[in-house]
Amino acid sequence: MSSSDYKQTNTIAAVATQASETIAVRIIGATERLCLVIAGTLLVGLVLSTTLDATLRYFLGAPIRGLLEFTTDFSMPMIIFLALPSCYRLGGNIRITLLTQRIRGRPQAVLNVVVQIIVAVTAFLMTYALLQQLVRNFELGSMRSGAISYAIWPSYAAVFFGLALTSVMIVMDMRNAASGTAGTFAGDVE
Amino acid sequence: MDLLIFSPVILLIVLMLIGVPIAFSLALAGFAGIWMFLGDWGRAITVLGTSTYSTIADYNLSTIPLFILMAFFASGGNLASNLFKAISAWSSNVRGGTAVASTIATGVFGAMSGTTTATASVMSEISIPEMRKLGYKDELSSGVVALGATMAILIPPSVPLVIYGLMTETSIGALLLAGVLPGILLGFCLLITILAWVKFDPSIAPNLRPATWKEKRESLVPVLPAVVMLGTVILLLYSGFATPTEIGAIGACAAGLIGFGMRALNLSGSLNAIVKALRSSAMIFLILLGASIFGYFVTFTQIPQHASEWIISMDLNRWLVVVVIIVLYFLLSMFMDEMPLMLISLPITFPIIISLGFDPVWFGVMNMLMAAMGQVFPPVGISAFVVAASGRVDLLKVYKGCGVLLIALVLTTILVMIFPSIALFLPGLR
Repeated sequence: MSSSDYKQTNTIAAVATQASETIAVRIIGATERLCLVIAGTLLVGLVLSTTLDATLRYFLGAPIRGLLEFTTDFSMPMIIFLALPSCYRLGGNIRITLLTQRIRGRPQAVLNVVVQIIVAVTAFLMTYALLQQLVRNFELGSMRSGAISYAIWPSYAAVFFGLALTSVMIVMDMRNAASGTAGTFAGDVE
Repeated sequence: MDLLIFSPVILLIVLMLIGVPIAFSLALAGFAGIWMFLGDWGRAITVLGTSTYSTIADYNLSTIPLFILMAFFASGGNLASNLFKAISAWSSNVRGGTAVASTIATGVFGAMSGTTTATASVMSEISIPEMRKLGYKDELSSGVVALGATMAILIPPSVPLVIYGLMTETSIGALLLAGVLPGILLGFCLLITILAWVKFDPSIAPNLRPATWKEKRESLVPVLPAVVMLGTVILLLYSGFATPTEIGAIGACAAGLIGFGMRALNLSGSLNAIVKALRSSAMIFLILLGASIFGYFVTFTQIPQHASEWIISMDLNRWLVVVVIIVLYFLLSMFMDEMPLMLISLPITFPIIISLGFDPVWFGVMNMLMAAMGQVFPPVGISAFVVAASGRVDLLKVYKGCGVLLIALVLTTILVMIFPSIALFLPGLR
């Protein structure tokens, strides 16, 4: 292979990598927005159903059956974990920057990458731990019994999905960590 | 083994200092501690998976996103600016009246929002430019907002008090009621301090034209829905008719309807409020999650029990212990937001306080007062930072204003400490 052929192959490979990265970013972005829409819909549903439940209980003595269980096991975990990817992208992580804000230049870039790796490792540990719970609950067919009975694994699945998506976003942001523009560092709240 | 127990604590401190977000620092240090204590990777992973889900799957916790949504609807619905305009008109015949108005409006909006930073941010944008235009010194206008915003964590619905209740298994209803009188007392002390400062140094506040009766009457109309909403929330809480979660839902519904009714909130504004509420909630819950994992480690190692036994064995005066804890809280809150501070420290300090015979509800209120002090005090002071950024005021001027007005907060803290019934009176009536 001549030198020009080698260069051309490298350029094609670089363009292909960039294109696949762009597609991956787009897919992740669209999934994140879909998760946010589901979480928002569930939050509005929680507001309306809880208000209706309180009103019906007070005036008719007839609360909505199973609402407490649905809120506990489905609404809450889904609202929080499906909103987590957007929370990460928009930043707003509470960090102590008293010392780190005094570091500049290359040491800061190195520290940012180290922090991002630690965050990624922690997120993946939690995702892995949740996957184990999801598989266990699915295999055992765990049910929650109360006013209504239902399988618990779909809720675990939603929680796992939100956390896994966030973990992937954290890893994909590794390159932005050095410049301090990754979600971990964006919009710091001290 | 004894010293090894503290290695996850040291890891936590190191992670936080190098800038790892607090939620992830807590989770990783907690997991390392659990793994070290159990000596079994598989069991440690099971604890991590179980606690990640079970921390969030809690009906009582649904109060938090609902209160936060209520705050963002109230903010988007111009309730804060209407309040400020109305109280400004009614206090215009007093020198420093606009500062008084800013304090009351900040307190009332804080009561609707439940968080200090949100209140400080919203009120800085509303009142500081207006006060600057009228000739008020930045030290006074920014100090008033920074200190006034701290009332948010006392007057219900207070998100930090809800979290305190969940962490310590103390009645959330009782805690929310316990914050009412200390919150009002803080507001009252703040007003007296402002008027005394203006009397001592009239150059900081101009003499303004008093508003006419017509202007005063007209200013009341847009405020009425907000007052009704806040009154309803307090009434529901006090009567015990609704649970805190239901109050959050009803409050969010009411704030949204008021915003739409007054044409201050449209579909796009509502969606924006929902996204902001989701983002804030996810951020708070991630920290809660980290704290819960770290809490498992603390429980396994029985550090709180050992600490309580050690302190009791020293036979110290219980008030000395509580003063030391309070001073420590104050020092730590200068570097940390109230919520992570509470989540990290409560598993250790709460059992000590209870074993010394103090009331958990009273300690909750004291905790909030300490956090409030740290939020306006250098070198960090998150509320002061937010006011400086949102109100475009030099940080030193904000600190100067806070330094003078801090007298009100110190006085309130001393009064609540000497007379616990200020906090415990309302919960006792239920």
